Amino acid sequence: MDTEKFDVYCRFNKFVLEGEEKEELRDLIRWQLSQLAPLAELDCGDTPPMIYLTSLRQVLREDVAEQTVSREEILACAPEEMDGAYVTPRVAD
Amino acid sequence: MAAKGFCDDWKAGENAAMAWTEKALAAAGADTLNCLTLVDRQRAEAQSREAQRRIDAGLTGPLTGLPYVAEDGIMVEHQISSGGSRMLANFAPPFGAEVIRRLDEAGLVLLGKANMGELKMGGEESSYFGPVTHPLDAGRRSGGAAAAVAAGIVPLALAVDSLGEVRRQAAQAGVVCCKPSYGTVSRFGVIANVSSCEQIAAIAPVVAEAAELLHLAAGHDPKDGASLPQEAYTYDLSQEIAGKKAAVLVDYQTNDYDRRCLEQGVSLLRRAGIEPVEVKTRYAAYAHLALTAIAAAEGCNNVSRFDGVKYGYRAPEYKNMEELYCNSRSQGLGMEVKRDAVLGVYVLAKEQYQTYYYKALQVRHLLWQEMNDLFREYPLVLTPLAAGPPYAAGEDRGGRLSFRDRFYAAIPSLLGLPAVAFSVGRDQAGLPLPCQLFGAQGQDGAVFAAAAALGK
Repeated sequence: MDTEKFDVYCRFNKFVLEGEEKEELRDLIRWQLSQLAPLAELDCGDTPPMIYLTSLRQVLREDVAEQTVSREEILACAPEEMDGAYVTPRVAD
Repeated sequence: MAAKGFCDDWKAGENAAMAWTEKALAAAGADTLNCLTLVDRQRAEAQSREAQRRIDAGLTGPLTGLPYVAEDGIMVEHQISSGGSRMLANFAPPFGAEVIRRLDEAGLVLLGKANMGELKMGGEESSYFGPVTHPLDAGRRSGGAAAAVAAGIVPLALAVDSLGEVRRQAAQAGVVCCKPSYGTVSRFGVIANVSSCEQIAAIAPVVAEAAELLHLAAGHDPKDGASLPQEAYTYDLSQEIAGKKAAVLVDYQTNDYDRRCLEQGVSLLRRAGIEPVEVKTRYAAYAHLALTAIAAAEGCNNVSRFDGVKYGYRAPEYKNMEELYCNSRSQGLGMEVKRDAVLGVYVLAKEQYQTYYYKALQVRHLLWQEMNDLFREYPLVLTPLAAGPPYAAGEDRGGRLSFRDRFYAAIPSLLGLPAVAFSVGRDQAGLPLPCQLFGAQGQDGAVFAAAAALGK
């Protein structure tokens, strides 16, 4: 991963890194990718990917939204809350 | 023959659930290992009173009234559940994990939360609350749940097995970790990391109690989209094991330490009447690589929800929305989480998708076929769990050693297989040598019974 790509992927993750921390992360990624090289080089032909683990019957729940937790309980976890809503910086004038 | 029940020892000389809880609270108060991130005395005492009421009424199971800890990635309603991360260090969720509800219902006493690697992405040095000291060697590291049981603070613990590290940590601390098949224990209320692999596991001094804990915890939960349909699970540890064959994977003979683990494991198998047969596989050596790519891909999505707005850490200084996101995530997440998040985006990006992520899913398929072929002849598989002793203080910074040892633990994680980790002897320094047995998906009882038959 070159420096330009590394910066792009950091920005994509909303990470702002400077100095030693940035170097340490870049080294770690470089090292990790070197470890993954045998995977990249392996020829798996046209083997289909296996996304789900179980060959047993898996039950997927209905895709229906339910009210499980109250608004007050959710907002109690907010870093900043006012008048029943999350507080964020202004996003539009 | 299964090992003697440790929980009976825990209860020996006492006659009340409150006394057992007091004993655990006192031990937790004297904890010098940093294995706990939170002790909830009030909740534990209330639960122990309720457990005593059940005991007095004769409404008891084998674990009623016994204290346990849950790893800090398993959420407890209105109790700090940090996942070992600064990002969630102040997060008290409005709902708890299904597994906690089930154990509450069964009359167990939740003492508190166990320390863990950050969001299950980080290794032994990554917890925001500091590393856990190994219970048998103060210069080495361990995991919070394993150390809490090994140190005798509690007889039982729940931990999330995603990349196999809790199995290694348990076996290297001299206790056992039973990981059930994927989909058998609800993950509802677990702070997600590797969603397609992670499964709640039980840690105890012996298999019998870990299996009993899983018996109480497992069963279909409609709140978990990957939950299997079976309503309840029992694990028959008395089933006949002698005469079975176990594949001993020679792929994992790389140095003196793992060879020694395998030799000791093989001699335990022989003693239990199980026939060990050396087997070489084609794809086992790729399992940890595939697991790493999948973990990064799934992990980067799972940590994307941490934004400093809805819950968790918010940076004190920011000028606009972009800065709020960036500062909160940059300050709230540790180095190893950042590593996996960046790596995850990389392996999912259009240019690299086929080379890493897609390839990892193909390897999972190939390994699945290879292992299922193997299980037709060998219902059990033995592997070591580490290339060396528990990590010395500071040695795993950056997670390089955790990655090295993922090599041994990866197959059950990647394929969702049941496994038991345990020690097979001691090294020259007197530290436990770690091995695991695993088997086909759904064969949890046979795998647990085999480990119990080894005297574990």
